[in-house]
Amino acid sequence: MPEKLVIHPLNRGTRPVRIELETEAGRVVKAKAGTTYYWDFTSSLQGKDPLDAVQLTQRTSGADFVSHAVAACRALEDIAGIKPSGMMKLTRNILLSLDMVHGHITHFYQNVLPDYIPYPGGGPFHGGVGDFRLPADAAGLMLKNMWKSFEIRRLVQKMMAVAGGKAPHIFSVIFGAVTYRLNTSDIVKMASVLKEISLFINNEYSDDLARIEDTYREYFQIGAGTSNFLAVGEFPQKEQADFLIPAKAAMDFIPTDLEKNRISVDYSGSWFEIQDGQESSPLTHTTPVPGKPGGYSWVKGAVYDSRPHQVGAMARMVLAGNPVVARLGNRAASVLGRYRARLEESRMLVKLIAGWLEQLDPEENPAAEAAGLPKEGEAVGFAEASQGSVAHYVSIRKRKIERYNVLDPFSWNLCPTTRNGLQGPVEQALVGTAVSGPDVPVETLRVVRSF
Amino acid sequence: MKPISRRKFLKLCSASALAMGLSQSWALTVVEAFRKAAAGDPPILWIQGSACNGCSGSLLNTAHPGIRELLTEIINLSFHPGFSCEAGNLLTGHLTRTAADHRGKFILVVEGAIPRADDGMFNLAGEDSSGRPVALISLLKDLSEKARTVIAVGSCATFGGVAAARPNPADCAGLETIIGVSKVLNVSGCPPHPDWIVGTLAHLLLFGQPPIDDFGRPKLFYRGLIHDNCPRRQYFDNSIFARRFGDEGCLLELGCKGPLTNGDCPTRLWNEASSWCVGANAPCIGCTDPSFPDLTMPFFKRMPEIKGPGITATADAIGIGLGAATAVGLTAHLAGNYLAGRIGKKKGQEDDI
Repeated sequence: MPEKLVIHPLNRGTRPVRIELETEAGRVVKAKAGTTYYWDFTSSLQGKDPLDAVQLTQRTSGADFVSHAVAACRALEDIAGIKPSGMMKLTRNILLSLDMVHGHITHFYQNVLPDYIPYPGGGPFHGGVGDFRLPADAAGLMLKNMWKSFEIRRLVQKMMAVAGGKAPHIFSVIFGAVTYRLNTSDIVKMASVLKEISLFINNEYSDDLARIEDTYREYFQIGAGTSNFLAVGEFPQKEQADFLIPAKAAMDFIPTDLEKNRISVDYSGSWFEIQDGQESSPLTHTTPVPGKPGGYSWVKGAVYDSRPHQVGAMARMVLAGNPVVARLGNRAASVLGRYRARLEESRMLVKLIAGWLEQLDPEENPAAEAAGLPKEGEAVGFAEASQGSVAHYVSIRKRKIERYNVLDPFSWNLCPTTRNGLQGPVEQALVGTAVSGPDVPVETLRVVRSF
Repeated sequence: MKPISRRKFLKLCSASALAMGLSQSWALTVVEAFRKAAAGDPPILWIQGSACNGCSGSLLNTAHPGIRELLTEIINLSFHPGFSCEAGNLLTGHLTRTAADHRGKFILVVEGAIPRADDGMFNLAGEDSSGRPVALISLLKDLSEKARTVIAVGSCATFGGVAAARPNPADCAGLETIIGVSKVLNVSGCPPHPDWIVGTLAHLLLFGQPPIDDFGRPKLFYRGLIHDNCPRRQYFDNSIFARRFGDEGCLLELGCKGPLTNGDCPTRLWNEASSWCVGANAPCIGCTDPSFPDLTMPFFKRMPEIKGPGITATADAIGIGLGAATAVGLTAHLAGNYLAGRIGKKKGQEDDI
């Protein structure tokens, strides 16, 4: 006899999640995962000045906001035929990577860690999930590092403010330009702060993850999700045209080059109704309908070739061939594999940022040639964020936004069950998970929070 | 240590103190007093509505005091969904118990707007003890009725912000529209500066309700216009306007909303005084204003209400001209808000800073 269980709100992520599970004989046999609040700028951007999208859509997420600014700019620059200058690419790369590093540290120390070590009572940390296995001295050290992670995050956003004006939500990234030219003093300051951040990543963060890996090894076999991965590509280089992380989609672990017209949106399990019939191109007009039959989430399902794909650091590191993640083989798609990929990516990013800072020429103007935005046009702008791929679809008419749609990492990883009955990556990762108890099973929390 | 006087506290919080390099005094004096006053004091319960969670992210950037000191030694933050280690179903545990045990005493902090359409179905906050879904709006009404004071953090929670941007299908609103103006203290901004959040809490715990402006915001942070304290004000007075991003000059022509926006950003600066929006050569988008974002968009177009000074005008005439123009601009914006029913009129207290 299956038992039903609802976890809501499943907290600590950037948006609360609702999980509905059926368990039988100690295993999850059915899972539904979604979000329960409407957060969408599709309607508010209609009729607006296209340049406003760069600011407004950053508010999609208080973490990963740079990816939205960059994706919005890329969509508009594509329409205008603007090729970003080398300096624009460098400055945007630096801001984007800082945001990703911030996201990874936040993920590990704020979202994940309380599921592995007991926190002191009092303050906002009350409660605990159990199954704490690490020795008290190790747990104590990790708690100390958790506090230090807040200081490091503050430093990361401080660097973002130097290049972007302020954080959260930056200002220097706009259509066709980067408004602020980093001077020598800024570069020296950022390089110095970066050293402190790198030390933390290569010491405390690395050691703490290794402790969890050594103690909870079975989590390399738990929470696989789909065997389809996707990355939209990121980090254009100053001179070359190619990306450091390739734009690829892997079906059953076999990667091919990403073709953007194979991305579509499946609204079957979401509380959005399609007005233009059943076709679900990303710019199809939708209406939010909370009571829609069959709906259980405010997430719009992003699919590639009609199939859900995992996105995020794990997908990126697999597709980019990161040696540490590659050595994990298929175990990369697991709870611990996803933590590992975020750490490896963070290590890679701090090295890249140091290199980009050196390449910056304080005398070079980061603004592209002044170019106007055409009155009509349609495009998609991609970017990668700590949590995964971001896509901004825009159509412009009479120099106003006609339609706009944001697909964020939630759209991919929390894709609701599709019209073909395929479950999203988080749902697939939950099904089959062995659960320890009738109450809220800690295993399921670890699986969901690993994305 | 002698308890700090309210007058001194206000001085230390003010942007002019920061400009004079007194931020260390804030760290040493205020924090000490704050800690004593707050010891074992009212629990603070923080809930999140429809928002991006950037306000919580901004709070974590607090420098003096740092977040560890703030959370472990200074304020009694008893609940925050971003930190809670509870397993699932947060509404039925610590949050509910603390609110019941400290009825009439706790401080409720709300981040995010409250959707009203379809009986609140656009934001379901969780399940109650019998497994029924709880709409955020009913959770908010329940908690705010039990709270001593409610603080709305961020432009979504105060005035609706980006959550309530037209056409607003979820019918999102800020707190004062839902629970009445008398109980809410507004800390607007998208996001607010961490000092604005921490300083407002400090004032509340040390001395009670701070003096507020017409929009329920603590005057000690929202008193001045960005434009009046802008380091580029001289460019405006001399009619030097940036025409392209990265140019020297006042950013009015590139869309700056500084002339209608209140806040101490130009002197306080952001992320440990690293920079601010205008410092990055980008226009202020008016994020603390009740009219944000509907009436501060287009962000990169010059405000239609604000007429720039004529090239031949003298500095004095420009000053007077701007004063009048600003007043006109503000009135137009605010009238728009009242008509749209987005904000309620609030009577400000006497200014005693």
